[in-house]
Amino acid sequence: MPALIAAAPLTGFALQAEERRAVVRSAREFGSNPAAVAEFAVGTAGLFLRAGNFRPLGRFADKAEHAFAFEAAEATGLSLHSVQGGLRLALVALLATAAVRMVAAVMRSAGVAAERSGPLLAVYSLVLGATLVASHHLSALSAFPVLLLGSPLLMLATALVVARDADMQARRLAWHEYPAMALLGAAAAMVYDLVYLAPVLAAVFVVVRAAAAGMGRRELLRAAATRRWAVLSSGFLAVFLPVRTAIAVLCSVQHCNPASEVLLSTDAVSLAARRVLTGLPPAGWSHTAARVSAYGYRDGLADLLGNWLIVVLLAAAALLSVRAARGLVRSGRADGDQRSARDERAVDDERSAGLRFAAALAALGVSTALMPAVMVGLSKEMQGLQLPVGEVWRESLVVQIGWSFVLCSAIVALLSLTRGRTGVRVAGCACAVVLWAGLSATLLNNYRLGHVGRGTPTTALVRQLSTSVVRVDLTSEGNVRRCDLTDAYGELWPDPHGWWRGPQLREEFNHFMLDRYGVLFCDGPGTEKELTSDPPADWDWRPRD
Amino acid sequence: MSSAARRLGSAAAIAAVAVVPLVGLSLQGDERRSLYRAANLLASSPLEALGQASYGAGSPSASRSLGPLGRVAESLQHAFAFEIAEGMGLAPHVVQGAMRIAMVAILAAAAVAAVAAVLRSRGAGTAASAAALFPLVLGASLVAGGTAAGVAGPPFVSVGGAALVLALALFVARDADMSARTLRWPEAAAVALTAAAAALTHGLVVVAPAAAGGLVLARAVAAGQSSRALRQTAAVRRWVALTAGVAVAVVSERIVAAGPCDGLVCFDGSSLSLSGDRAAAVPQRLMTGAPPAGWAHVADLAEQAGLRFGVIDLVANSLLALLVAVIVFVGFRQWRQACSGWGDVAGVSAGMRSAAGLAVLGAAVAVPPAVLTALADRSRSAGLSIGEASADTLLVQVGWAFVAAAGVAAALAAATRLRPVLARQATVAAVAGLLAVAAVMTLLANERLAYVDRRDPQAAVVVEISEFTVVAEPGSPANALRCGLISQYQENVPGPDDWAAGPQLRAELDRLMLQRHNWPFCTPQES
Repeated sequence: MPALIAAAPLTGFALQAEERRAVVRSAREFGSNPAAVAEFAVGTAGLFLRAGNFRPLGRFADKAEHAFAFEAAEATGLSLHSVQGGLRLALVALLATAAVRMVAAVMRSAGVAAERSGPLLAVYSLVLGATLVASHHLSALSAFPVLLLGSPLLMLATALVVARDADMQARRLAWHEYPAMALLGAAAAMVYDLVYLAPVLAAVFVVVRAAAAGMGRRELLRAAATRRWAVLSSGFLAVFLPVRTAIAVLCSVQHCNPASEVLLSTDAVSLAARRVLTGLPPAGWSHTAARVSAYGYRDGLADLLGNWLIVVLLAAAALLSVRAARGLVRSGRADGDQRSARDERAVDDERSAGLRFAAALAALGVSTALMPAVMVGLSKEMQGLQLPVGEVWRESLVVQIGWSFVLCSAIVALLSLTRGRTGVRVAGCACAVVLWAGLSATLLNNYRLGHVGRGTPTTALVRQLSTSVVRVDLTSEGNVRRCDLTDAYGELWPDPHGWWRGPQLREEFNHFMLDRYGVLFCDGPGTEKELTSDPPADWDWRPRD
Repeated sequence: MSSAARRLGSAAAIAAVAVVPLVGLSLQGDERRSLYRAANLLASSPLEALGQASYGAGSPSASRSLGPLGRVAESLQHAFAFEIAEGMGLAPHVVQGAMRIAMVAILAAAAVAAVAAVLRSRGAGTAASAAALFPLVLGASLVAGGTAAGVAGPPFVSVGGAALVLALALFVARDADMSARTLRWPEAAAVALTAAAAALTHGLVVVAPAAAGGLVLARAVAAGQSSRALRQTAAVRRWVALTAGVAVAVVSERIVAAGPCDGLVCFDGSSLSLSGDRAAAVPQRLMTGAPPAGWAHVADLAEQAGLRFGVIDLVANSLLALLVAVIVFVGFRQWRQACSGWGDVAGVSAGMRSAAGLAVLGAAVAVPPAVLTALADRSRSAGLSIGEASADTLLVQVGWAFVAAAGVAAALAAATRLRPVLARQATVAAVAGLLAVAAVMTLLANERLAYVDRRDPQAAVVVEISEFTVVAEPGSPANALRCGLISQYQENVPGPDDWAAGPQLRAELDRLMLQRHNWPFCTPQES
């Protein structure tokens, strides 16, 4: 719920960059035929391998989602960005569920009492909501939902699948677990570069659960989770090693996608540190504030109260924070009340369980935040980009989730070390205030970004284009309006070589409309010349590659 | 999850699935202007806005038979919808679409609760089986037979009005009220006041006493209560209080409205007259609520618009295919649930009593709104054909759903005698399959209507204007596009008679943007 509160203001964010063209193109090429998408993903795997990446599954998911989004828009009459917004919210909900389940799993391993787990999970949900800061129009909460939200979701889901509760005990694997885990590992190597970290995260998760449960090294090695991980890693490496070897060989003799090139330098360390810091909410808040000011907007805290929806969301956040704090205080008070009847050792056991949980969560969080940051730090292209602290990139959502684990662990440690009824009450109230403030700041941040994102000349046009291509007015007036739109967009983005610039977008839309309705999107001067050639076969040559 | 909660979830799911194609429908009729007007007024002077809304001054909502409380509620909902749109960056019509789905889910929950109340009256038997299949029945009945249909119109008041009628009926005939007990005056006053307040929301609530009476009678029939026992129940006394409350509110409102309307042209929806041709229109309005009439009418609409959209097109779209799969899945699940909830042969007569009870409820819910609409001057001037929906149709459709549920209950009760068990299961499967097909047909009809709306040039302009209202971009390209849109709208709807005509809408939009961004919707530029 808090994650949805944070993401709500970005629901109607306009399509960004390649999305503007890719959604329409996927609809035209594949329609509702998943087999065609699969054929494309497999058929172009070699082409992309030569360019320095191998992710047929990711490409399949991406194209299938684009085609589905368009078909959903056609079936409902919603604009493309509205459908993408709905999908984004659904993915955010799934991601938040996966993250909460990871925390709950570590909590169970640490032996935290059942009556405390509910309030602690509520606290974690609020922390996660507060960390979901979008400080750039290409953040995971505003663009490419399947790629940028789906990849972290797959990473977390892989970890959860590898180390289920029953797998943390010594047992032999059933026969079907071998192919299932191996296939999952192989799939992780074919989705997106970020998902390469899935086996590593799964390993960390297994170790963290084992450490939280106080398992010895021997027990850990015998656990089914370790075996499942080993099979998963084998499947992963079976794809990863040959693919990366082939890419290394190919790229040594030809020009490749620079994002795939690794460069070990001192810049890598500082870049990794900056990427880690970027996941921290205050860094994102301040970056967005500066960005918004640059656009001439002066939205402040008072503006939050100028919109009823935001007021309701703030109230919902306050309610959730108070409920979490009340739960913490109640479960803390139960300890105090029962202390007379229980021996001190049992109370100490619960405290040490809390601290064990905090330590395990901190370790999981640090690993989750560091891994993608280091991966980005080693990228030659990213070293050249010199992104400032606070500006999110593809890996930032995973780093943010890592920070959410770390921040939650600090709160858990604080609560575990707090003694006495008054202390618990003060700590609970302080938690509620801090969490509400954090979530409110993130809400303001995302609301501001959404506001700016709707107010630029480009997004105003893109929103209308996303509507016009779904709600097709076949009258001459409709054609004139569409031509006005493409002309205005073309003036803003005249570059004839960019994938989603004005001329290309117009051509794509024209091809789509001809296929679908037998008319051009814009039947104006020069169109005939544009359509004499087939659409360029430049599938997916995207900057993000 | 309890079976009741599961049933509520299934009903809400199927009903929502049936209306998903309508989620992006353009703003209809007066809503094209009233939504922006409410956002304007509430942001600038909330008290004045509420006062205006309650008296209906300068608002067309009186012409949609909304009472003062309904007008206030609608204004608040419109203003909040616009605020949600601004907060999330969605166009206002999308927010209204989401509201439509939410309201339909609420209506479905109320209808399921009414059916469960009737079937609960008599204990075991085939009750659970019939209840399990009701979500499919309801989903099949929600056909949008035109843009004036309840599920296609302003969602908060159109769907909300129907839900309110059912909620009032449920409020009168609770389980505890079906036994004999005296009614204390505070309870009677509470019921009467609630009913009076409800009657001031929507003109359709005038049929609430009939629906409530129908539910009380249906529960008594299903439970096999004698007329004497029925008369002594608290439900009957609560019903009397409800009827009194509604009557007082409606009469008072009519007296208040008679003053301003004297000598002026007033809303002809409230003006009733009795004649032979009006009586003949009653069966027409009743038939309109039956799903096949709606399906045929929407097919005609699509054909008139020159569109071909068949079953094949339905499954050729991935979202629609997914929705069909959801219907099939829920149908299968409900079939299994229906098979598990089977009673014994001893329950046959009880099952038939339940069916009779549901038929009574269906008639009580479907007939009064049909009569009311048939007798209204407005429906005569509109010349509504069979299948062409109007404001009353949603309630008539829910009534038909209860009647169809009665048929299902009777069929299942009769099938109890079948041997072997496989024959019973086959019967339930046949019924569930038939209902699932009907639900898919309704999905097709609603998609056809949405398709007609999407290909309507006027609707395209309305939607594009709606998209622009949440975009704060004052630059000249965007301004030129906005001016082009509003000019197009003015050309299409020039008439001074239309409340949402071009000049009025333009003035409203200019006020809206000036208030929020300090620049008008369209700044005329010298060429």
